[in-house]
Amino acid sequence: KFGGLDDDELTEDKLQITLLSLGQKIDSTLEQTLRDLCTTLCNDLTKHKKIIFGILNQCIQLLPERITIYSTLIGLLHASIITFGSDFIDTCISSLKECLLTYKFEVIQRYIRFLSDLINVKLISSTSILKLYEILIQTTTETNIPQVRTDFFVSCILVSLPYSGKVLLEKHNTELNRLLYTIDKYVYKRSKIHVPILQVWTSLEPHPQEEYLDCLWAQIKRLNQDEWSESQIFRPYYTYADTLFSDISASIVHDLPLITIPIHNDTIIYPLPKIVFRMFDYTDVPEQFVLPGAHAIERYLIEEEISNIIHTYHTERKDCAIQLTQIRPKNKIPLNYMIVEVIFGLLFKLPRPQHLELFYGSLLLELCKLQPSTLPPVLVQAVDMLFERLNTMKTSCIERFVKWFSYHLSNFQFTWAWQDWINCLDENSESPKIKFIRETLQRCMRLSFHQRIIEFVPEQFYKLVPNKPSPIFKFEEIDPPIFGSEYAQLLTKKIKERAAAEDILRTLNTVPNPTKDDTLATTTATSSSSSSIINQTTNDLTYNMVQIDLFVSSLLWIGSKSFTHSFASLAKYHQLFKILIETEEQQIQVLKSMYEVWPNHQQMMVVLVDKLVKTQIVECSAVANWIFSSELGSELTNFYVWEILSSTIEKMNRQVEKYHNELLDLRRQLNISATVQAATHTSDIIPSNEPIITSHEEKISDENKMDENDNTPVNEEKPTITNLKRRRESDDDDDDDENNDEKQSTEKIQSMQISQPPMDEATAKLHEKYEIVEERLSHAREQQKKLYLIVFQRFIMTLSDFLNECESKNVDPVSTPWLKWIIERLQEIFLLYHEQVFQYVSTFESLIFTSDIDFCILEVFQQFCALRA
Amino acid sequence: SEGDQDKKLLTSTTLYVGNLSFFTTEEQIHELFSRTGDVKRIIMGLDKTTKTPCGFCFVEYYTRQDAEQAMRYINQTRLDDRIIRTDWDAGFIDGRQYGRG
Repeated sequence: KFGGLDDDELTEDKLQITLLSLGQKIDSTLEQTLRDLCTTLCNDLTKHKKIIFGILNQCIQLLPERITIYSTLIGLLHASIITFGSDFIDTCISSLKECLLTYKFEVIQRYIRFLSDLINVKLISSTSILKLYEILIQTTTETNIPQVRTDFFVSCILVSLPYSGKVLLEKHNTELNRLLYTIDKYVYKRSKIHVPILQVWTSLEPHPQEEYLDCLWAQIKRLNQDEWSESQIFRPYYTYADTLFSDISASIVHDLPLITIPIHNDTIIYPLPKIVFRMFDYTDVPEQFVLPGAHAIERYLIEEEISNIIHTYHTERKDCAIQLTQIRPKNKIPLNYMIVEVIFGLLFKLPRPQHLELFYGSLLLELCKLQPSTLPPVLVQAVDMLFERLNTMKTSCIERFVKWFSYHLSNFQFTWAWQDWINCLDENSESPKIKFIRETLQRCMRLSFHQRIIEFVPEQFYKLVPNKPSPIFKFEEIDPPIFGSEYAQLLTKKIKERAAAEDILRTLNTVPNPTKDDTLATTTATSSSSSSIINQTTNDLTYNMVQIDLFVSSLLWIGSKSFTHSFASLAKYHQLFKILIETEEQQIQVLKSMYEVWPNHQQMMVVLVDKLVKTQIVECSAVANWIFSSELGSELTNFYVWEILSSTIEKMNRQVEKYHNELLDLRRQLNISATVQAATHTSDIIPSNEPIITSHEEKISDENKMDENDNTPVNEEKPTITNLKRRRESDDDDDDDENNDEKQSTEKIQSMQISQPPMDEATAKLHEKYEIVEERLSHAREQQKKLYLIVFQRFIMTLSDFLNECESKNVDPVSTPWLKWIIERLQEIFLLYHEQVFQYVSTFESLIFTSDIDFCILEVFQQFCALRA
Repeated sequence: SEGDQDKKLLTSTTLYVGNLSFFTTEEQIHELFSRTGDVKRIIMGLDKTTKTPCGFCFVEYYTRQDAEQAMRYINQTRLDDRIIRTDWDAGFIDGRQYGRG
């Protein structure tokens, strides 16, 4: 009996475990295991056919790295049971067809590769695989379709050919050559506009960052020249030649039924193109190893196996590491170099890594633990190489590198040969290497503390060590006192004493308006009523800014002890914020005041802005405008600024998504059959330079604000450790408030369903709710579009100003690090939020990315558009 | 009851984090744990008598998925040179921030 699989009580669970773990460890027992498993399954096939077929299909879909083991098993079953082959093909094909109709591109590719391998076990005829390829290649003759569509279907053939090529060469040489000729023609006529935006490095030295289809095609051509012989694919089926390939074998080779490719429509989002990440070549590895060249099929096959394993085991980092170390590369291949290269390639993948960045970091930790003497040296070499190539590395990738490296160091007591990097310390302070070290130390400090950094870096690095993250209270300076100091003293005292909001407001209103008298004088002098009103408003505004500044500075100063203290301060005076702050300018003043208190504590600013946006004290658009304001000008190349912008944009996107999902849910409840367009690809229907939101809409959004404080009684304790408990209680309440609205509505709907009141009433209520959500969604979409418009407009303004300045000073802008930092952030925003930005692309094209802007800016937009072309 | 407790654990978005250094701050915890998702709040475990941090905390996320990622990728890794341990928690109840005095 096979591995405890007792056929008397063959359960679905047991079958699943046995089949899914098949070949997890490849050793000498595999041959017998496969034979035994085949016998067991044969005995039970009639009884459990549906279950067995279902699990086998799961294996094909989920475990691409072990595909040849499954094709061997299926080949053995086919050789044993006469009806197995045709039945199994039927199941596979119906799965494949479903995937085609639902655009599960990854799974489609896996099926085609698997079916291709089945010609090696004589289950499927080589003629019908060729036919399948011909159908796929037909997409190259379609007109008015995006290149990404054809790319996908051509890539399906290319990934399958290493498995089927040899048989096709033997049996259908002419047809194979014709196929390769067609692919060749296709690959060369493809557009490559999208390539630069996806490359990790802007330079082709030392390694070109090839487009994935170009690279794979070069590898396949080489394989064809080598008459399709490769050494990497594990092909257990050859072990069973007596069963599978003997002349007396009675099994029938089957033809595949006809498969049709669904025609294109504009709502389909095809996989984005990729580039191939390479950082090592044969000169980088020790002499006893041979790294396959960039265009050797072995390079592709091992990379594919590594990334498949990483994808399959990504939820279990320890198993993932073990599986990776069990790969058995042939011909002295340096596996650890390839693993490290693939992991960095996945981490730096643009637009986004497939999995959480932290996963790749934790996987590298596990690999270091498993191979403490062999893996860390490779990693050190990799870091040094990446460091040396920072000048041409994309900003988003540098940021991921910083985040990973600081995390990795924090797991190894911050041990690093910092001395080796001393030579770069004379470089321009904005240069990529300096920036990398500075940002790394910043992140290391966030994971540890200031003194720790001082201890682990050599003295020469001190100028790159971040300032101590302490708050600054400008009103505290006594000599010379600045305007408002005495009021600030009063305010801090009152805030400490937990004064009521009204009390604070009264104090703020006693601050003298320094411009009031001037205004009156101006009014009488000019005797022009209209201009005096303008003056009056301007002065009132300035005065109001002083009040906001005093209030926010004092509040943050008093809450400066920790995040919790600061959040509690904000929560306690939330209502006061609401009274003091209406306009965007006032919101920006809040951010400016915050910056003045915390310029040395980037993480604090990140969490405070997050809180201010979540509690709706500050709107997303205000954050965007503040980031590009002159006050923050010198900070714009620092990474935390973009951390703030991304997190703000993401909150906006989440809001839209939330309403969209609520609406879908209500539609289901109301049984509306019409489909709502997905949040990510609605058509661009809202006219763009829409005026500011009407007061009516404002009201609606107010109702739904994630208000953290509205119902919190003003009974806050002063922030001391003894009183943490109380504050947490109210924090808890606040957080509940955030979701109150949502909860109530859900509860309402649920209770309606349970108690079943007369249908009409319930339905009417649902309709009412539906209309509200629909309006909220359209409002949120408008806000979202406005936010992207602001961001892109500010980018163009900032970049244009800089380019003009360079021109007047006769400086080549491309030679400045500044241009790199900013233009690559623009690229990053396009890439990270491509799904949202594509919704509004025609507006952006006609309104802001017009031909009168500088080409280096316009180019970014064009590359972005090419991603889906 | 135990069943309720189990159910709570299966849907919880809160983690208990143990084996922290007494000197590890909320800020440091936030830096690490926010790498798997948006952190809703952090509650530092305090010594009953001294009211100072005593080596554990609760981290609450907005979504289950983010908390799951923290369980997968942060558990048994280092923070402040100590291997920290994460566990599902049924949800913070006031009073639980106090460790043994």
